[in-house]
Amino acid sequence: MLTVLARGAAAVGVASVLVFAVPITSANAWVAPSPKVAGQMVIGAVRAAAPGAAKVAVTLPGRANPLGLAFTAGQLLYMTRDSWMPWVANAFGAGGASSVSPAGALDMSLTWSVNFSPTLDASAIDVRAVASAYTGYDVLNASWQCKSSIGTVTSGSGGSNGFVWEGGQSGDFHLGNCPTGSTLVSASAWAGNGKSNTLSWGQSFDPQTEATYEVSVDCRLADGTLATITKTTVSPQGGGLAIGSCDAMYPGSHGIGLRVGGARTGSPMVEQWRQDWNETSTLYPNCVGAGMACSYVLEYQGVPCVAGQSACINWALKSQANPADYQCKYGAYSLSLSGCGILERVYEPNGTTLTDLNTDGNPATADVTYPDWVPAPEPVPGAPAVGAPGGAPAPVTGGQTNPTATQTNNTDCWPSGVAAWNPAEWVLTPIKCALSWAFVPNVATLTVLKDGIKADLDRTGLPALGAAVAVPLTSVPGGSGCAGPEVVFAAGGFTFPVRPFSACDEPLRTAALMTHALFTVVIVVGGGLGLLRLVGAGFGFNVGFRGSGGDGS
Amino acid sequence: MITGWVAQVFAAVVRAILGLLPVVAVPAWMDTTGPMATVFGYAASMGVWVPTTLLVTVLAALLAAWLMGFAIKVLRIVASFLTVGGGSAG
Repeated sequence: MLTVLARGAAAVGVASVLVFAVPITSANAWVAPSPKVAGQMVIGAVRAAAPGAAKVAVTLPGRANPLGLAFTAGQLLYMTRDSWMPWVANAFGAGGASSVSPAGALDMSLTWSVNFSPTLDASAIDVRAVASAYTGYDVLNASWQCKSSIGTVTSGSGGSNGFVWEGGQSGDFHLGNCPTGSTLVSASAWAGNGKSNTLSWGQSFDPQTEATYEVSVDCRLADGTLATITKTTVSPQGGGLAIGSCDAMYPGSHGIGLRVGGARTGSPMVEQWRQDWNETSTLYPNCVGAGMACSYVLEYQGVPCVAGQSACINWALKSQANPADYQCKYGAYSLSLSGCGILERVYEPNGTTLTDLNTDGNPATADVTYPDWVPAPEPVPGAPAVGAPGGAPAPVTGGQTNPTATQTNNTDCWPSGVAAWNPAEWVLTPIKCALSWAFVPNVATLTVLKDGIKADLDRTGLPALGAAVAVPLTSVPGGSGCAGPEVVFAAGGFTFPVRPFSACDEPLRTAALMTHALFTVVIVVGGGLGLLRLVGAGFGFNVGFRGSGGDGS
Repeated sequence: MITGWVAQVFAAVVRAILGLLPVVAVPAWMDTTGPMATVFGYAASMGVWVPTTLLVTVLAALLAAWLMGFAIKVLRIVASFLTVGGGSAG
């Protein structure tokens, strides 16, 4: 059961990483062109680069990966590119244009009977010709190209109506069929012996072998300026486009926009798609750029802390009791107290102050140095030190004992006063004195021994480790409410807070009540049995529930 | 005298053992504002599903019982060395 749960959790985690947070560590990536849908092109993001190709790196810690969200979609689109590539091909050129005669006068028009669609079979397409004047042409011809799923291109062509076009004549010309499993890529029609009177439908060139693409990435540099990296890919026969790297070209920069352009090789580039992302630095715009650096500051009741300030020493613990008195600031912006975790010890006496500034607007990228602080045992308030006046006596050497160590009623071990007349006291008093001297320990000596052990134990740091566990552990019973823990997913610059264990509404409320009751029973019964066994073990009793044997019958 | 001597021997042994232990610093992840605190925070927020107060109380009681049992066993072992103890408590 545990194994199944662990595997399931691992699978969810891996899938989440792929979808929401893909740090790409190559210098150039290949981008697969994607279909044009409703006037917009959804660009696929990244696939593994070809061997030997440069690779791209994207994104910095603490900042949303602008291409990460499209990574999975890009992979899917790349794998199915042969089915939608005709969309790209046809996106470069619109179909359905009228033709003109060689003389320039419009004496015959050609139109497609249906709108452009690569899913149509060629046989479903007609070319309609209408002659407005005598054309002298007696030929109307058409040809079409089909492409199979494995990339095989087949062509077909057809003959004419067999008459000379005169004014007022019209007619439809049917195209042929694409082979089974192929999709229509392009079609052309013309009237006349030549092709000067032509009508194109689709794209007459292969976007994989006859097109050129440009991918431009806009980068925001560390100093706040903008730079653009443009990569050109000619005839991407493998289906991928080269994309530049902001990090590789300009260390410390990050991408804020992506543009993809394409055209037939030799033709002017046409922008096919663009995408801009909100810069995370907009979260802290006043901290971006030279001269606008921000740094972390902890404030106590609105006043910045200083080293040695009592309220700020060990503020991480003190803020748990009075969180409203402490504020964490990043420049002029307020963060949660956890954002000032690096300042936990900087306000100790002689603490270290942070001097590195942050100019890219991302607190997560600030260079900070943790002060080297080793927890030391805190002295008990009010207790004088060992050896100090009023405190425990200092350790003595040479086996000498404190003259006040002997714990007896009589200092001279002989009966005195009225007891001196009691013969029994002559025996009991010395015996009692001797036994006390032998077995009653010196309290001061024990205290010294105890302090020595405590000092050695504190030196090892184990009590500090125990306290580090005990402090948050004691906070566990303080939870209340029905919402449960909040988990925040970040993707594409957006955050999605989720409370998967919220028991405020049905049916989880009932489930939570039942689960709570079940756990209560288990904990009480199990805890009771455990207590019984542990206490009994001290006395040599092995408390169990196995049968105590029988007569075998 | 005797008890004090035994206590001194015991303390010397304990201090010798403690002296062999390395100095351990609290790791960053155990910090009160670190990941462990976050995990405990999540555990605290699960109080509607799991009786965390009862769980922590029972765990503390079990730890105390274990320590008490250990102390009792040690005392019994020590007492077994004395003639008045009789038998072995090991």
